[in-house]
Parts: sequence; C-alpha cells; structure tokens
Amino acid sequence: MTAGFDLTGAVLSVTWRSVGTHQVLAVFADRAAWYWAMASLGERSDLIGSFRADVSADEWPAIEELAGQVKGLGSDRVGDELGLALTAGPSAAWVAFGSDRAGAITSTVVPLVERALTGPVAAARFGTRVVTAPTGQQVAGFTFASIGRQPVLLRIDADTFALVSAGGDWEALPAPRMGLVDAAGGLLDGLYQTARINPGDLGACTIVLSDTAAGPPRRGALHGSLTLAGPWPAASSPVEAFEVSSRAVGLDPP
Amino acid sequence: MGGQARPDALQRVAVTAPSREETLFNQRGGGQANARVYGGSGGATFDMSRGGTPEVVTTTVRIRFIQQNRVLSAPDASGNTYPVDSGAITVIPPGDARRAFAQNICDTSPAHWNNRAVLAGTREAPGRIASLWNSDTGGPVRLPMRFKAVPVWDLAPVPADKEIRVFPQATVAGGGVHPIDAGHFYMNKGPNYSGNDEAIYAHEYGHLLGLSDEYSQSNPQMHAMLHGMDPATATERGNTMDREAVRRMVLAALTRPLHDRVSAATNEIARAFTAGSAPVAVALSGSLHTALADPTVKTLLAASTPPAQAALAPLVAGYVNAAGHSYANTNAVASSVVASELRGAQLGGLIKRLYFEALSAAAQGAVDVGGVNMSINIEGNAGITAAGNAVIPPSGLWAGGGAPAADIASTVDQVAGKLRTGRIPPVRPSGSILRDLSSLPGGWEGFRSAAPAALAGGALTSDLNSALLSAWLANLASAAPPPTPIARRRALWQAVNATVHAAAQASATNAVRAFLRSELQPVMRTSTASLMTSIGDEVTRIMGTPANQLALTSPRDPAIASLVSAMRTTLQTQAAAAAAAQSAAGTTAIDPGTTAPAQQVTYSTVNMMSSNDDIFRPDQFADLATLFNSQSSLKHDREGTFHVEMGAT
Repeated sequence: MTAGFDLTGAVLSVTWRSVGTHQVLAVFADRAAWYWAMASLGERSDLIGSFRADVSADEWPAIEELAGQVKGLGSDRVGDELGLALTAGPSAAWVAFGSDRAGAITSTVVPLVERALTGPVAAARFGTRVVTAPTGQQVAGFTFASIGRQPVLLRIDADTFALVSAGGDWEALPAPRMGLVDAAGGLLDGLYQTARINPGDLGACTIVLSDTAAGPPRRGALHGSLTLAGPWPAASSPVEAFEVSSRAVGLDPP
Repeated sequence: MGGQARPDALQRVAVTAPSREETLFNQRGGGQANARVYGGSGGATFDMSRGGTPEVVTTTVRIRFIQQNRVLSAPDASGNTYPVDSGAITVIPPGDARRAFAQNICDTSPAHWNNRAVLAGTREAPGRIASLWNSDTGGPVRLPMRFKAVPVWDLAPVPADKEIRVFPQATVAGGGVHPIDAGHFYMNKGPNYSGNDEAIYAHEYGHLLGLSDEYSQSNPQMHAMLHGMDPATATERGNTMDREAVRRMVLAALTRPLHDRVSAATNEIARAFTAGSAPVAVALSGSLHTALADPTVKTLLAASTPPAQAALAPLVAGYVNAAGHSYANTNAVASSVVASELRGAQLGGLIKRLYFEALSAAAQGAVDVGGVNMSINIEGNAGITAAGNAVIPPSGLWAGGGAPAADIASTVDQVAGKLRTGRIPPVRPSGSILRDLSSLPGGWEGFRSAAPAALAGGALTSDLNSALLSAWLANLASAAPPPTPIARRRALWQAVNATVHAAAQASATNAVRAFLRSELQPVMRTSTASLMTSIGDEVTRIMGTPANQLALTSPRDPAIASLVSAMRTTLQTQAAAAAAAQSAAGTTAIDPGTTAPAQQVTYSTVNMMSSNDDIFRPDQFADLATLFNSQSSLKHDREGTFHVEMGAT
C-alpha cells in the first residue's frame, strides 16, 4: 500500500532485482540517466543512494532504439529465473539473464551506470566498526558517510542490526533506542525521524556488545529506507527499502 | 506371524504425481494484478516405497548433482556479470567435497516434510477359513510419511527427477555471476547468503512432489484451494475470507482520506501539545540532571572532550561535573527541545508517519481463515510514502473503488473528526482520533512528579551513553586530523561545556521523540482497530445475513454499511469475472492453469508453498495418498483405502 517510485515517465528503465539486489537505471527525456542503488551483492553492498549522469549525444540513439524494442520483448518469466525488468513509458518487458538480448541491453546501459556512480547525488557508504570504547566496552558501530552533493535522507530499521561471523552465522543485535549521531554529537536520528546526513558528514550508531558475543564479526548489516533523489519535486520523493552490509573493521582509538 | 502383513518387506514403485499449470496474479501495476500462467502439467516423477519397522511410506526424489561451469556474460548494473551455464556437464568425482554437501541438502530439505502427515487406513481381519492359520485380527494401520532426496551422481541416461549444479568451496556464492537459485547450489554461501536457504530448498522440494505455489491467487482460485483443503469447511472458510477481503477493501478506500484529514490537522495537534507541554519539560529536565551525574556518562563526556595539554588534563573531570549541573545544559535544553519537537512541522511529520503505519498494519498481515493463515492483498497503494507523505494519487481500490464519496466523507468525519469550522480550537466529535490526540496533554500533568518511562532518568542515561559513544565513533571513523591540544583553561571549559551541551541536546531530543511515539502510537492503533471493528460489524451483518432477512436488520453505521455493500459488489464482480475465465470447460470447477482478467484483491496462504514457512496441510499430501492407494504392490492384503491425517505418527 506504500507508494513506490513511478518509472512510467522514463524513456527507458532497467531494473535489477533479486534476493539481495535492487538497482534501477532510468533515462529521461532530458537525457539524464538516474541510477538508484537500494541493495547490491559483492563489492558494492555498502553503497546506497541516487546517482546521475548525462547521456551523450552518441549514446542517445541506442537508448531510443532499446526503448522502442521494449514493447516487443514480452515479459515471459519462467519460475524463479533471474533477469532484467525493463520499461519504456507504459510498456514493460522482462529479459532472462545470460541471453543475447540481456547482453545487448547491458552493454548499452552499463556504461551509464558506471558513469552515474561517479556522480553521486544523494548517496551513502555504509561501514561497520568494532571497537573498544573508552569505558572498556566492546562496541559495534554502524556508520553512514554521505558521499553525494545533496544530503542523503534515510531511516534505519532498529530490528535489523546484525553482525555476521566468519562462518556466516548471523548474530541479531538488540534494537538501539537511539539512531545516528554525527561527529559533533548532534542527533541525526533515523529511528524516530528521517536522518538527514549532509554531504561529507558521517553518522554513527553504536550498540554495546554483550560479553557472550561469539568471535570477531566479519561483516555488519542492516536494513532501512531511503529517500530517492530524482527528476521529481523533493516533496514527492519516493522512499524505497534498502539493505546494506560491509566488512567489519577495527579502529584504533588515538 | 504366518499370513500377517509383511511389515519388514520393502516395496518400491515409480509413480508420477499430477502437476498443474498455475496462474499467479503477480504482474502488478495500476492498482491491479494481471495473471500469468506458469509451470507445466507433465507430472512429477518419484518413487514411493513402504517398509521398515515400524512401517513408513517413503517418497524419494532423485536429484542429479552435476558439475558445469557458470561464466560471465556482459557486466550488470553493479559491475558484475550475469550467470550463464557453460561448457560440458560432467560428473562430480567421488571424494569431491561437493558430494557431501549435496548429500547434506538431500538430508535436510526433505526433512521439513517429515513428521507432518500419516497415511491412515484399516486392515480387515482374515476370513473365517483363513483365520484358522492366520492369527492376524486386523485393525487400524498408520503409516507415517517420510520424504527423501537421493543424489544421483551419474549423468543421463541414468534417470533423475531434477538437475542441480553444485559449486565447490572455492567459489563464493553471490554477485552477478554466482547467485544461488533452484538449479545452482553453493558450498560456500559467503557473507551475502546468510538467510534460510534450507527453507527455499524445502519449498522447491514441494514442487518436486507436484505441488503448486499458493501465493498471488484470484478469489475463485483460493476458494477452490479451500475446497481442496476440506470440502466440509470450504464454504465457511470462504465466507470468512471474503468478509475479511471486503473489510480490507473498505479500509483501503478510507486510508487516503483519513490520512489526509489527520495530516491537515497536525498544526492543531501541535498547538494542543505545546499548550500542555510544561510537565514534559519538567520531567525531562529532572532526568537530564540524573543522567549527567551518572559515572559512566561522566567518563564518556571526559573522553569526548577535545584533548588538553597535560597540565590542564586534571581539570576535565571537574569541568564535566560543573557543566553537568549547568542550567543551560539541563533545564534550558529540556525546554528548548520540548518546544522544538512539538512544533507543527516536526510533530506533523511524526503524526503522519505513525498514522500511516497504523493504517498499513491493519490493512496487511495474515488473517486466520478458519485455522488457515492467509494474506489478503489489496492491490495498488494509497499514494503515501513510508515516511507518511502523500505524494501521488492513490491507485486501485485505495482510490475509493467506486464507493460512494459521500459515505467515505461521512466515515472520515466520524473517525478522524469533522473538518474544522467556526470555533478555534475546533470541536471534534468524541472518540475521533483528532479529539483523542488533542486530548493527550490532559494526562501529562502528573509528569511533574514522576517522569514517564520514555523520559525517565534511566532512559536519558542510556541515551547519553549512546550519543557519546556514537559521536566518539563518528570522530574515529571520519579520520579527521586530531585537534591541537587545548592550552588555556577558558578554552578547555568552553570545549567541555560544548561537549556536555551537545550530548544533552541529542539525548533529550531522542527521549522526547521516543516519548511522543509512545503517546501517539496507542491512540492511532486504537482508532484504527475501532474502525476495523465497525467495518467488521457491518460486513458480518451484510454478508452474514440471508438476503431476504437483510432488510429487517438495521446498520449500526449507515455510511460504513454503504461502503461495505459497494465493496462487496466490487469483489463479487471481479470474482465472477475470474471464475468465468478460469472455470474448466463445461464445469464450474476452477482450472488453476487458466488466465483471467486482472484482479484488485489477491490471496496467499501462509504455508511452505507460499511463504516457505514450516506449515503444511492434509490436502498437500492427498495426491501421494491417491498414488499409494493406486499401487497394489504398496498395499498389503485386506487393507482398505488410506487417507491423510496430520501428525508425526
């Protein structure tokens, strides 16, 4: 019942969505390519946000050609097969991974994604730290560094904080009562109110670990929701769920 | 024992269970769900056997585990590539660790199906003459159903029921190249796959038995499924399901106007809160004093202060103590935070989000349909983001669904409170959510003597600890150059005071937000529950009363009754359209493999074949019972027809 983000205004959109993956590229008539990363596996599992690139005059014909093909691509999906979801205006299509068609589509749009990633608009990089606090307590810290040119707006789900052991076991952490705090000690929140992290700033949320915590964690993870920047008025910005994880690193206090 | 049944003998037969094409209404958009047909009707092959002591009936599926590479296709959006099976299919060699891994999957996934069902039947006593040499007196026979998956290591033409590629420890699952799916298993799940894939495998095992998915169904499909579960209770369960569907359809039609009405009144609520906020500030101030005196908090405050030259370091503790007693860092912070958090825009955002959460919770979640847990989904959305902001027009039934606008408005007037007219503050109807919210400060006066839990000293201490630890960590993670050690007393005092002030401000803000949520949420949940009860009363009256007697009953709420009638008509119209399309030729039975017009309400069970939960029903084992009964080699002398009973033994 929650309003999602509407891609029918895009000349072309491509959505990658499966377990642990949710990314969307949408190209609009003003020749802007927007890329939204809500969940990624692998190296970019710590990256969420809205990114933008311009589509060059050389690239535009291929986008239009692909958009024109969407209506005829069909949307026959078999079982749990993985693939790409495409839209061009009101038309929708689905193409299986590994097919020649999927290869052709990705070779067209991936350069835009790569370029968009160099232009973060409202984005954050997630980090996991495990440190010993001045009080002697072992603390898990979860950080979001704002890497875009606009503030990143996000909420975090208090019940999803987890550490992952080297063996792959998940340890669900107790829900924190306080959300993100910046380096100056200001409350950014994210639990009760949407956190607004300004460009260049970093918000941290800490959870004191119990004595029984098993071994050094390998990764940290949590879920939340992210306000997407895009070609729409800020007040109408859609909010999408995100998942992030990152390698857990130690930090040496000075 | 001569002439008795042969409990220790093993009979094994190859059987084919019927499999069906299935229609899932999972092509969502524009407030409705379009249908798509999946699967095939070629049947599911496996073996059934009977034997052991005590006797059990075992269903065994053969899975061929093979070696085949996956290669990279073109890079995907995140710089990864797509997985494509490539190259020759070869045998996983003996001794390879993948064999043990595959064997473990074969051991664990079917185990979800074990101890769920029993084939129950009766063995008659032998005839009069046979009884001369046969002491068997007959009696009940119960055969627990067991499930196995057996690995097949050889390539075709050695038969198998399913093929799965297995990847060794050296290959980490994940990324664009190596996602785990039904045909690709990974020994090394890596950090990205910590979920319960055993449940996914168990779901897939259900398909190997010929079972269909049970999510995104049309109304006639779910009615047919209820009939398949138990014809005797199908009508009652079906009626319950339809009543709940209509209840949710009415709520969907009301959600946006209710939310709009409450959103428009947030300034009014903020004014009422501000007028009654003095006791909150008093409680917060007292708790801040308590928290700032906590030894651990003091330690963290001292550690959070910028470094001072060695000669000044001994002063830090005293400065922390003094700053913690400062009016500016306690009473003043409490007053300013309370004032700030009760401002219209700030409080309004919270109210809008929490009210939307309450309405969403009532519209979603599983419902008990005569012992069958079910999810009923009203397609489309209210046009409201998770943050509680109405950003686009509602779609589907959320846009009203053809219900009379006057009745929607009347219901909203009653539930949320009438539009403000004339007097300020406006008079809201008793029991309306706006009246209840605006009345909350009436209960705050007691906070002058005892702070509520969210604002108590312990809560503030916890928040101060969190704020200081998080800020300390943010500084570490920011890798900013360390500041120059402070060399002057005045500068040190200012630094300590600033640290204490920031921490007090952050913890007080957090505590007030927690307090406001604890105040607002119950009112919103109670209001929504009351609305759902009112809708439910009318649904029961209208849909549970014979048509010829309905006119004799009078609605408790005419507006809601009108909405219920409208939504019932909508549901019946769409269900009839689906039934007409999905009815098998020449019958009224539903063919689940036939497409149908788009639906605005879809249905899913909570079961292994829908949500992967360890929940099973007798009808899911019924085809196995039929197969068993059809195999004379599986049945012993004088045994009748077996049926399914749930349980382990």
